[in-house]
Amino acid sequence: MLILAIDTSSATATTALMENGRLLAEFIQNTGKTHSQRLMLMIDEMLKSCGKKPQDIDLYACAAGPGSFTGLRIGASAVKAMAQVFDKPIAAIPALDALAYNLYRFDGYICPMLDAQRGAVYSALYRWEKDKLEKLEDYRVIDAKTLVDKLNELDQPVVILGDGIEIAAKHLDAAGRISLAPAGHLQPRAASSAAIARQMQEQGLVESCYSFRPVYIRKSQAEVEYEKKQELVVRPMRLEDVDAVWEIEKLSFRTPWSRESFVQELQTNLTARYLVAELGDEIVGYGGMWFVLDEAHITNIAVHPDYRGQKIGDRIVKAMITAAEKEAIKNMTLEVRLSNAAAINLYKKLGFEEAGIRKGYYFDTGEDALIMWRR
Amino acid sequence: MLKIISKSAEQTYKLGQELGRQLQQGDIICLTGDLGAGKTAFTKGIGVGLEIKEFITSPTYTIINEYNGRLPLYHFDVYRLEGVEEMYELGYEEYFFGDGAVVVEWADIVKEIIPQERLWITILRGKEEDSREIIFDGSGERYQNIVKELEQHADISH
Repeated sequence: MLILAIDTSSATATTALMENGRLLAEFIQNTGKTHSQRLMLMIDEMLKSCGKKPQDIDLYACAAGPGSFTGLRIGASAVKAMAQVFDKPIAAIPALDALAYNLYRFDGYICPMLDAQRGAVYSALYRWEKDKLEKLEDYRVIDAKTLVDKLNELDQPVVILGDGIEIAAKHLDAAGRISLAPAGHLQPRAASSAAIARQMQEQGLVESCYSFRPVYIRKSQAEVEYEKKQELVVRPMRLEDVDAVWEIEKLSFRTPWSRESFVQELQTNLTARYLVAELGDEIVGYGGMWFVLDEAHITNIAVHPDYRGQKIGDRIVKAMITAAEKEAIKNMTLEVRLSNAAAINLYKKLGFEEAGIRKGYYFDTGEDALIMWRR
Repeated sequence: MLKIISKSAEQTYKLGQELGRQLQQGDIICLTGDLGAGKTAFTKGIGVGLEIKEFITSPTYTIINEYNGRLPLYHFDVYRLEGVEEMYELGYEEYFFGDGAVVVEWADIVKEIIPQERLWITILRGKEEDSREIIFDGSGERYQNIVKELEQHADISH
């Protein structure tokens, strides 16, 4: 198992190669943001110096944010391109978690911070409980002075690290219990990302180049989220949605898919397209389809029982039609229980026509399925 | 407020060059005006003044181009953006409050996020074929000083 890890979430660019848990090489360049010029060269030099080729890499680890938007984009595009060419998975590493990992099992609070401009930093707060990293404060953008004041109120010493310390430094007072991590651990280290990626791989938390995306957090996020609260959004399903989706699946079907099937659909089935409907920050429905040649086969659609009758299913099917048309797929098909008049009506309204019956299709009740096509 | 009548593309370019020489880290220059009036030509001049050796092109499709000269130049063309929301998604703050100078073409589209202190330049077609009216509006001491400096270099000013 060869892991290539990269982190370009801040002023530091870092790459590492780890083979079966053993660190083969780690590059750290801390000379300012020239990541777009340096990153591929760093990867190339590192692979060569280790006698490895790009096709030897089994897993990519990439800092997914929060952090510098530009930096995250550079890292994400590099890793997505390589993972796509060699058809290998990506572990999306939370950048601040990886920084905290630099201080493995440190006894006290760890507060990583990355520059978010205008006196603010991306930050979170951690503690090690034995070998488990506990996140006490979630990722946020916070004014550096406010953060330092909060850290000074903590009941134990705090170690801070990341390029945000340069902003926080002017608010530190000598008597406080905040100290800086040592120079070697002060900035992101791809070796930490690689170690986290290894654990994620074991827990099945890696994803495909298609679903991987950076996590951008910004100052007005809270306000933006608030405004979006009552607005229904249909978007591609991500790995972190699977738990909520599986809940709806169990509430909706007599013979639900396993949680694992959803994970597999997202990670390994390149022909699958899954969408979720999100209301505020809650997943209220989902739909999936497989692209088979020039046809889209709808596999499942479900809406949370608490949210039925609000035309959410309608929105999901429409979004699936749009998604299929975007990829030049004109023909769509699905099977529906003959007894499910509400669903059949909805499909008819959206252009699906009855095309035949599959006898005894549903093995739980022996019910027939109606085949519908939209051409 | 300073209005300069430029009689040729060459003169517009030279004004840009003079502005480029004066730019410092954190400076924000907004450009608006008629389509094809010479916003990009003016920016090319700024690039020369910043000692940028690369060829400056309009970032209409890339939204941001980055050039390295005496200091980095972040050249935005926000014509294709639908509003400020997309500027947030781009992470514009890294450029506006970063280590270089910023030029924003079509800045009126993203007016809400333009800092109060900035140099706003409007380029309009003049009465004659190649002439242009260039209006410099500096807010804050820093930008008012730039405008004063530019005035010294203008052939005709009002």
